[in-house]
Order: sequence, then structure tokens, then C-alpha cells
Amino acid sequence: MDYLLKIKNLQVGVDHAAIIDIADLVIKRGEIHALMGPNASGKSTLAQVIAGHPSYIIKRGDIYFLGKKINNWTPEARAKAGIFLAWQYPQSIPGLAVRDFLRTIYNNLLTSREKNILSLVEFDKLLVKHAAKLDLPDKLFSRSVNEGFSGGEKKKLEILQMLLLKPKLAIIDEIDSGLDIDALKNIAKVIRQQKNMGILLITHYQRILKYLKPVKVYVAIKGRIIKEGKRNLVGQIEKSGYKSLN
Amino acid sequence: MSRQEFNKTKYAHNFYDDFKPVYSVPRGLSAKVVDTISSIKTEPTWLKKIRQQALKIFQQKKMPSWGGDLSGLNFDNIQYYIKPTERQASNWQQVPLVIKKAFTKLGVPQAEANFLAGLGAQYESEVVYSNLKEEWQRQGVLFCDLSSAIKLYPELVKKYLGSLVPIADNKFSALNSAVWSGGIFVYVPQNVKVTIPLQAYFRLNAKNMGQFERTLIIAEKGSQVSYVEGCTAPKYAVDSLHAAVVEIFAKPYSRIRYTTIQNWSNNVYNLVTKRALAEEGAVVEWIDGNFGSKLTMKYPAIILKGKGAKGDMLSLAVASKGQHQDAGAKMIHLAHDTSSRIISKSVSVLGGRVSFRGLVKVAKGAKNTKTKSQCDALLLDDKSRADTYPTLQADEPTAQVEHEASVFKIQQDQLFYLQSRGLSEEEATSMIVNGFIEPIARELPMEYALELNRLIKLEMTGSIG
Amino acid sequence: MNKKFLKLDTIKNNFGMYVKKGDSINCIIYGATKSNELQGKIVLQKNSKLNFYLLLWQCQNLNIKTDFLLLGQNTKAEINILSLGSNQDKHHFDLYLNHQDKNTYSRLNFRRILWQQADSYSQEILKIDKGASGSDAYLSDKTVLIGNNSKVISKPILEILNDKVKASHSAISGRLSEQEIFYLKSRGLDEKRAKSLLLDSFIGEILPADKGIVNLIKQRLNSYAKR
Repeated sequence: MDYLLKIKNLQVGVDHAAIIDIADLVIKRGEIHALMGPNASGKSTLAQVIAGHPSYIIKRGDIYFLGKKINNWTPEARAKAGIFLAWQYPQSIPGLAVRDFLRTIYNNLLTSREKNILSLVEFDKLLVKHAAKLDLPDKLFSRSVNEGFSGGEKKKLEILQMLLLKPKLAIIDEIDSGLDIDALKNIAKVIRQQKNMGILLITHYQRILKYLKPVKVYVAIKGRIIKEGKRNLVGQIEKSGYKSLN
Repeated sequence: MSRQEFNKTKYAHNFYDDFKPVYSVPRGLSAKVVDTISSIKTEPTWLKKIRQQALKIFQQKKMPSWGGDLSGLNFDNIQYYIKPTERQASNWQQVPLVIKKAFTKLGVPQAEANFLAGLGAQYESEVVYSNLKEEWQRQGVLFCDLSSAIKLYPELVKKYLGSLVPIADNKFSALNSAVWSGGIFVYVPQNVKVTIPLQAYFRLNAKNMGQFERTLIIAEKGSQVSYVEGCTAPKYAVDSLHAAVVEIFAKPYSRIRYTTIQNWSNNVYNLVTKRALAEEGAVVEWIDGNFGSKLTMKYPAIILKGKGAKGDMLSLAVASKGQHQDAGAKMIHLAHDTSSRIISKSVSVLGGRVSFRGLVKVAKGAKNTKTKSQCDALLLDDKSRADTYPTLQADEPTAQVEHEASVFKIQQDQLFYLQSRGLSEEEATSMIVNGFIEPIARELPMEYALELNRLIKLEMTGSIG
Repeated sequence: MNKKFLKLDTIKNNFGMYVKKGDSINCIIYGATKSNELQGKIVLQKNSKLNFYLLLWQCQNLNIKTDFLLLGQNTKAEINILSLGSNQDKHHFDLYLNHQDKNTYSRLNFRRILWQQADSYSQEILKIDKGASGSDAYLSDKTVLIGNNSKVISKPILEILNDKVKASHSAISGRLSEQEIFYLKSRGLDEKRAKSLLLDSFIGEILPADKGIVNLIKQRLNSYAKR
């Protein structure tokens, strides 16, 4: 198999309205693809659809992951297969400590791959190692998941989960909002280090594309990809905005 | 897991011990039954009299017309006293094997060895085992069953017994006063700080049994104690009754923590009266967990009688199919500069109903009192129900009274967030529910917190899909 | 919008109101009364909207029982109650707010200021029926106790039989905040002025957009403040 993710003639709706229409999108191992577009262009919806959000109905077309059709897979099955979504607005779970959450999802994936789970101590070592890369302080681990987190802390926690779960494909939704420039550079560096991972980078702004170089760029407007091209498309958008593409 | 398997495993304490008691009274309630109980215990005349007086009051009092549905409760069908063993043991070797096995299954002796300062274990109507570690005996701490306490320390017990929960307080306190048996007596002398918990464990085994223990805790000036109790009963098709009375006296500047996790099977009416009196500068912390039972009606109260006294009540109730938890808390402020907090968390699932019923009262003259209550109810499906019935009474204008209540459901995106990390819907739901009750769970002793976690999972099994 | 103004002392015993399909009604009941027992029933039909004000002062003996039934889908009820009590006033409120159908919305804002020996009791039941998915209900019950012998009892009740709803309440009673008084004093206001400003803001959010009535209430507040 030469691709991770393949989307074919996909039409997604909520109730009766079609909200996304994607003819063709293929991401291979180690590739970074960027999906750009103004607000409400359906970018985040596509991310949620790939992750299996129950609110969206696939009207036609297919999503393949590693050669298997995953249209009807549960979100957890997709996660176990290696799809990871870094949320634009991560959910908060009051009362669930970050450390417990991370250890549970980590060991859960290990179990599903028939590997031995890590002890508390072993896991803590791993956690501290990854957290250091992202400049996340230890004291965050005893707080509730995303509860009262700053925008930057939320985004870092998303990337921390990505580092722990080591997905094959990461869909990274608007990671740059809420991050200062140093943190953004650092996160981009961490993402670049994941050599074999396929990445679908969803972004409104060009900022992060200075540090992560996509092989392919798509522009979505109103649920459709209206243009695709190489990296130079980014420059064009920067110059004359999304409207010029219409 | 199939529905049938689920039903089998749902109530983990649902094992029945094949056990023959040494003595039991026939079913039903009469002056004779009350007298028999008193005679078996060779009680003093004053107590005999109280019991008979209580029986009359019980018979006169009407059933409460509020709260839960008590129509299924038949007092004639209940066995009021079962004596499990000839004498009480202070060593597990002396406890009959069947009973010892039951408590071992529940992890009780293990906990005693590892975490506790003392343990009392009640089986049916009597405490079959009680032991206090030597270190605390030496410091003058008293810990035994209440009947023994009446013989050993009659003046002490007489002074306090029934002074906080009078016989006529309500129908079930009257019933308890008439037929009580078992329960724990704790006395902590002045300035003694019992740094690890004392625990009592109550097991109801026989069917149609009524368990009526009575607990009395006295912490003298400047002392400190933490008391933990747990309860279980196997599941029968017929109903059982648990009507306990607990009286707690926190003398000036003492500190008492009272923790109870009640985990009854679905056929138990759990109708208890529990009250604490906090004198000047005393602190009473109460953690009240209610699982199972057919109907629980339980409103633990802290009376803040001395200036600067503090009351803290954490209340947790989970109601699943066929269960109604009518639980809550009362804070009565009688003195100035007293403060109180109530946090109630409830979970209703599979058609269960939780009603929070609370009273906060600030008496005239209780100046600069502060009280805050917060009730959060989590509804897990459209068959379940949550109610909040607080009464907030400020007779003192300088009192600051605050109350808040909200109903929650699990947000689809919260579930999806956890699922997108590889967790199943069941796992995700139970993590969110555990997060919801975490402010209370974190106050529990470790083994109870783990038990709580497991209980939540069990109660919710079958709630998905 | 249909506007109704009613003086409290002109209402005898019972009152009822139907807010018909799609209608929008603004109803203000206000004023003083020596003694009044009122039973009200207000029914909102599908897609209707009600802004209801009950603004009371100088009521020696008052017993009000009112049911608000949100009968039809997409009904919206905003209920604002202000009760100013003084002397030996005794007030008794028994309010019942029932969401019976889908996507119904209610806000009940209750504000009380009690001087002298005023004594106020309220029970406010907020019930959401099984069929009322998408309902949104909030009750806020706040009392400022000014009189040294003033008293208040609140029983804010929730009965929730549907999980797809928003429902909450909050109840607070006590003196005006010392902290806030101090803040205003630190800006140069004297105690009297600070307190009166705080009372104005306490009731400000629940008053109707009607100058005449707002002025009546402000005058009332000023006259109490002088005592």
C-alpha cells in the first residue's frame, strides 16, 4: 500500500444539507498536506469526519485508511488503527486528571496492539520526556483535562497526546491559534521530527507553513476544494487572499 | 456482556452466606419482641423503658408523606433481631468461619491490618468482631459496640444517647430507638488525635431482615478522629429494611471526619437519621456516598452550635434502575461565625431517580455566618430523573447564604474527544462520570475510592447502546 | 408587542392569561396593596413569548401563587419579580414554572430587598417534563437583607425528567457586599450613596423598559433609604 489516507468522491451531510464534497485526497507516509481556507469552509468538519464524529453522515463516497474502508468505523477503532486528530477546540473533562487520562489512552492503545502496559513509574518517565519537548510543566498533569487551560496549553496537550500515541496519520486542526511564535516554532519542530507520520495540516493562516513545508496545498471554500497545488499556492493566498481564488 | 450476565454480576456483594444464627425473634413488631431484644442484651431498666416508649411513639407516628414511595414497606414482614454468634470476638480466629469468609470476601480484615486504627464488624443484628489497636487503647480511646459500651461506660453513654436524635424525631428514629441492636461506640479523650481511621462494616445477610444499628461518636475537646463505615447486603426478591441512627458529638476545637459508603442491594429500604453537633471551633467533615437500595431517605445534619464551628458535607448519590435516592444534607447554624459547605453530586442512570433534599438554616443571632451549597446532577439518559429540593432559611440578615444547582448531561463532543483517543463509548462515559464525582472521590480512603470507581462502572453497565 | 399594565390592588383573587400561538405579550403587574391573595395561571401556547413583571412594594400581607405553563414548543417566558418589603410585611410566593414541550425557554429572576422586620417566603418550582427536550431554564433568586430583623426563606426546586436540557438555579441572600461598598467609597462616595447605587444595580437588570414604573420604584427605594 502506498498511501495512508485516501478520500474518494466524499459527500458528507448533516440532516439534508451537504456540507462537504471532496473529490480526491490522498496522503502518503511522511507527507505533509495543508488544507487551507477561510472560516466556515468545512475544514474542521472534514477533520472530524475522518476521525469518525457521529453527527456527520457520509452520503456518498469513501474514506480509506491503509487500504481499508473506514466509513463505518467507530472513532475508537480509527484511533487504534493509527488516526489521530489534534482538535482545534479540545474538550475539557472536569475531574479527569491529565496524567490519568494520558496513561489510560496510552495503555489502552498498547493493549489493543497486544503489548504490555506501562507501570505508573515507567509511564511517568515517558510523559516527562515528551512533555519536556513541548515545554509543558509537570504541574499541569494533576489538573483536569483542558479545564481552565490557556489556548497554548490546550494545543500543547494535543501534541503531547500525538507524541504518546504515535499515530500513522495526524490531522492537526488550527494548531497555531493561541500559540506564541516561539511555541509555534517549537511545535512545528516536534511535528517535523515525526518522520514517518502522514500529516493533514488544517489552517486558516499561513504562519505555521513557514515551519512545516507541505508537499501539497488544498484550498477549501464552502465545503469544496476549489484549488490544489504545490507550496507556492500558499504565497499566492498570502498576497491576494482567498477571494482571489474564487 | 449479555444482559443476563450483567444482572448476575451487577451487585458484586450479592453473595449469600448459608448461615444459622444462634437466636432470632419471629417476624413482626410487638412489645414482646422489643422486650426480648432488651432481655437478650441484659439491658438496664432505663433502657428497657426507653425501648417500650419508643415503640409506642413509632406506632403513633404517621409514615412520612414526602420523599420516596414507602408503600411497599411492610413492618409486619420484617425480622427485627437476629443474633449471629454467642459472643463478640476481638480476634478473627474466634469468628465463625462462614461470617469470617463473608467479611474476607469484602476485604474487611485485610483493610484492618493495613490501614486502620480499629475495626468493628456487624453481621445481622450484632457486632461479631471489634478490635482497637493497642496504641490507641493506651491513649484512652474507646471503641466497641454500643451494647457493650452501655455496660462498660453507662454514665457516659446515658449522657449522650438519644440527646441529638430524640426518639420522636421521626418515625424511623422511633423504630430504631425501640429495636436497635449493634452499632459502634467511639470515644476519643481530650487532645488525643487518632491519625488513622476507625472503621465499621455492616453486613445484612438474612432476607426480610431489619438492621437497626446505632452509632455514637464523641470527640472530646481538641481531639481528632476519622470514622469510616461501609454497608452491604445480598439481593433477595423480598425487601429488607435498614434504619440506623447515628449521633456525633464534636466538642470544642475537635475535628471529626465521618465517611460512609452505603452500597445496598436493590431491595433495601434505607431510612436513616444521622446528626452531628459541632461545638465552638469544632470541625465536622462528612462524606456520604449512597449507592443501590430501593429507596434511600437520608439527610445527615450538622448542627453548628458553637461559635466558629465548621461543617462540610460531601454527598454523592447514584441511582440506577428501580432505585430512588432521596438524599441530602442539613446545616443548622446556631452560633456566630459558623460556616458550612455542601457539595452534592448525583448520577441518575437507567431510569434511576436522585432527589437532593437539603436544609440550610441560619438562626437569628448567628451573625456573620457563611454557607454555600452546590448541587450538580448528571442525567445519563432520558428515562432518568434528577430533582433538587433545597430550603434556605436566613433568620439572620448578616448571614451569607448561597446555593446553586445545575443539571448536566454528557456532551457528545466530550465523548467523541475521548473516543478519538481510542477509548470505547463505555470507557469514555465512565471516565467522564468519574471525573464528575472526582471532587468527592478524592476525599475517600484509597480502597473506598477504588470501590467507588468499580461501583460506577457496574451501575452504568447496560446504559449504553 | 402587546402591552398590559395592571395595578396590583385592582386584581381580585384570580387572574389568568393565555398567550396565544405566536403572540408576544409584555405584562407588568405593579404597586402596593394592604392585603392580597392572588392565584394566577399563565399559559403559553406554541411560539409565544411572555415578558412578565411583578413589581411590588408596600404590601403588608401578600400571598401569591402563580403557575406558568410553557405548553407549546418554542415558547419563551422571561419572568421578573421584584419585591420590596418593609415594616412587618409578610410575603408568600408560590411559583410554578413548567416546561411541557420542546425547545421552551424560561428565565425567572427574583429580587427581594427587605427592610425592618419584613419576612419573605418563596417556593419556586422549575419542572421540565419528559417530553421537553431542548428546554433551557434558569432561576435566579437574590435577596438583600437590610433590616436587622428581616428574614427570608427560599425553596428553589428543580424537577428534571429529561436529559437533553439546560436547567439550573442559584439563590443568594445576605447583606450588601462590604467589599463593593468599600470599593465605591474608595471612589469618593459616602456610605449612603454607595449603598443606594448598589441597590439600584441589584434590581436594575430586572426592571422593565418603562420610565414611569422605574421612577416609581426608584422613589420607593429612596424613601426606604432615608429611614
